Amino acid sequence: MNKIELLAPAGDLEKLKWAIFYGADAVYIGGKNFSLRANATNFTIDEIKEGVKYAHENNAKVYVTVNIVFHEDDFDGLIDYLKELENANVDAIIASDIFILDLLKENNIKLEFHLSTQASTLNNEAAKFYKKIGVKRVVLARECDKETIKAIINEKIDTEVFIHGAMCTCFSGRCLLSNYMTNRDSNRGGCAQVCRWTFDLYDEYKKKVSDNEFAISPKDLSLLKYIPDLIDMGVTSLKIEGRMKSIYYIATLVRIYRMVIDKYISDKENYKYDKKLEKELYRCANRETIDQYFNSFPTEKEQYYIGRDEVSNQDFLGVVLDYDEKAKEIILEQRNFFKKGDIINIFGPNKESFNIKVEYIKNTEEEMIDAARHPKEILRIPCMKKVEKNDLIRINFFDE
Amino acid sequence: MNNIIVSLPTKENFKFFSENKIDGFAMGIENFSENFNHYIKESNLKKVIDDINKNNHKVYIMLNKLYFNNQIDDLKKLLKKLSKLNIEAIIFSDIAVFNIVKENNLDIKLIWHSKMVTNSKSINFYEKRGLYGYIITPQITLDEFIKITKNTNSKAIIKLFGYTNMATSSRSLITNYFNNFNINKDSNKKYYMYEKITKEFYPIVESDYTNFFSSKVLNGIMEYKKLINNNIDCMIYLDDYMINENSFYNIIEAFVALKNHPNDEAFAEKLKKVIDSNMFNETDNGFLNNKTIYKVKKDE
Repeated sequence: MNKIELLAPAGDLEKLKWAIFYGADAVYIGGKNFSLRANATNFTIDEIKEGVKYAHENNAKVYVTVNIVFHEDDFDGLIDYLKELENANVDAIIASDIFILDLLKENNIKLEFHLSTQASTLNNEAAKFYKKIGVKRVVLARECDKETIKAIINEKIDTEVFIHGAMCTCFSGRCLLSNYMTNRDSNRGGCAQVCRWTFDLYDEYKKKVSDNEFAISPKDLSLLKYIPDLIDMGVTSLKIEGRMKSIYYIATLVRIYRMVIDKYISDKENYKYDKKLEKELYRCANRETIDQYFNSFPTEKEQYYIGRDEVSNQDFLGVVLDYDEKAKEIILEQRNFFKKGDIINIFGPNKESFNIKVEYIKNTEEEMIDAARHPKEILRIPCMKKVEKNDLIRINFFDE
Repeated sequence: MNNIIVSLPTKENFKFFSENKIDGFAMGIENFSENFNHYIKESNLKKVIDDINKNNHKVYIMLNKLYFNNQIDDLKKLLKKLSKLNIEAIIFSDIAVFNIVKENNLDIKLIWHSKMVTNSKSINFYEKRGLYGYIITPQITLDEFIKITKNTNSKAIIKLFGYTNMATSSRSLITNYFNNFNINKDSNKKYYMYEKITKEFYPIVESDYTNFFSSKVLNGIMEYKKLINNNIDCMIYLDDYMINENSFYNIIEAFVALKNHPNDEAFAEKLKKVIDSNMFNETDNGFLNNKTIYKVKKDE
């Protein structure tokens, strides 16, 4: 069996490095042009080159999204851009528009072609066609259940399956809600996320059905419990959604999924699902997560109606910059408020997290302070256990 | 050139359609199609198609759904059956249809109908592999469509009348709402989603999937005039979904009248008003003259 890939999002170069550092086998990024998520920072061609160099040095791959649905006036610069991606040694492009496959062949551009989830591949016959025409990998529609995933894998085409992140309400690549309601083109990076709005529902005679707002917003997806199933099914790549997400979110998710994949592969017979990791994962997400279509068709329980349990996450307290072995102190950069006496949790790639009590806090002037109040402030706290640069510090929520 | 296809109305008034020189009918098949006022059962297909052929009209079968894997076996059987019937073409949305037809060498012309039909290069990609035609997606402007027709050889079709399907969800969104709030749901399938800021009512219909529609009815008769005046070789599609049947006949007559007098500006304006009034002035011309925003700026 080939090694399964853990694929993480990276909205910029910093996030790319964090994702790989925390255990991603591959990252997907967007360039400044031809990519959805127009509001993400996205990469210049020089940044793509730097990202690829960093990734390859760390045995990871980089896929670049070229996933807008092209209009007749959007072709300018595309061939040159694809050549630049080839020269940058990117490992594949993720595209929605199938003509790019011919464009690569006609221009002798050697880039692997992954078909985006925007193509909404829901069945094995569609996958069979894509394989025949030279698509190396299909990113499956998020509506696929496990039987469909198996049927598509049977076509001997590489499959990429979303395991975590936001869901679209409607079939991807087929949704014009944003176009009609905001004039922003959802298929060219302008999606206004209309499916997160609330509405009223009226009957066919335009009489209001009830005072309860009508919403169509889905909860997020998490297939943490089903990682062993996906590995055994032969999925090629497990994909985390969220190019706009923070480094804390990416590092936390990548670390957890990495640990689950590695634990299962190293000892399948004795593998046990770890509820503690589930708690970490759910805490990090800002919406509830659920298995969505994987086991059965979603019902009312898989979506939101009255508002959302969407919380702004203040768990992330700081980044470890260094460890002073002599003083037994962590040197950190603050991200959210914490104070003397708090119990905090420290974690890093491929290792168990642990708690410490904040016995004191010192600033760069060596002054004792009662609380860490200022974002990006450099501080020292005591810790007997050695930590590593780029470990992360968060609120201890395990005892809540 | 500029022939008219209409969705097959419940009452098939073939005399009317012959007099008005309607080229053909788009029709939906129960379980395999969506967004039709009525569906043909698979068991009745031959009879209905024979009746239409007898009256010298063409049949376009609209398979405008995306299919889950558990529907594929039935889809294969249907396509084999259709290949033996006298139909002009299948209008498809799922690439599975294209693959099954080609892999089994079925003698069926294929017309691509998807929101991905946005540019000539993608159309040409499929044309090289045996595509016969396409229906352009509604977010494309008329000028873009004209450019596309010039850069492709496939049969071009543009929808110029009817509600526009904005999106489709495989979730049962209306049933879910009723279940969540413990409200008894009646047998209605059609509801409206009301957007409070713009005060627009968007039709939303739940059957196998949940479909969202534009708040206004597309009235593209002036664009039809432009297509004829510019000698654009294409067909137009008039869609009766959720439209009163008598009004739809008026709409067809208006488009046919325009086709017969394409150079008369004042007459075209009058016809436009006829269509608007039949739709209680709840009309617009969608994106035909209105580009959507590609790059979103920070303050948009």
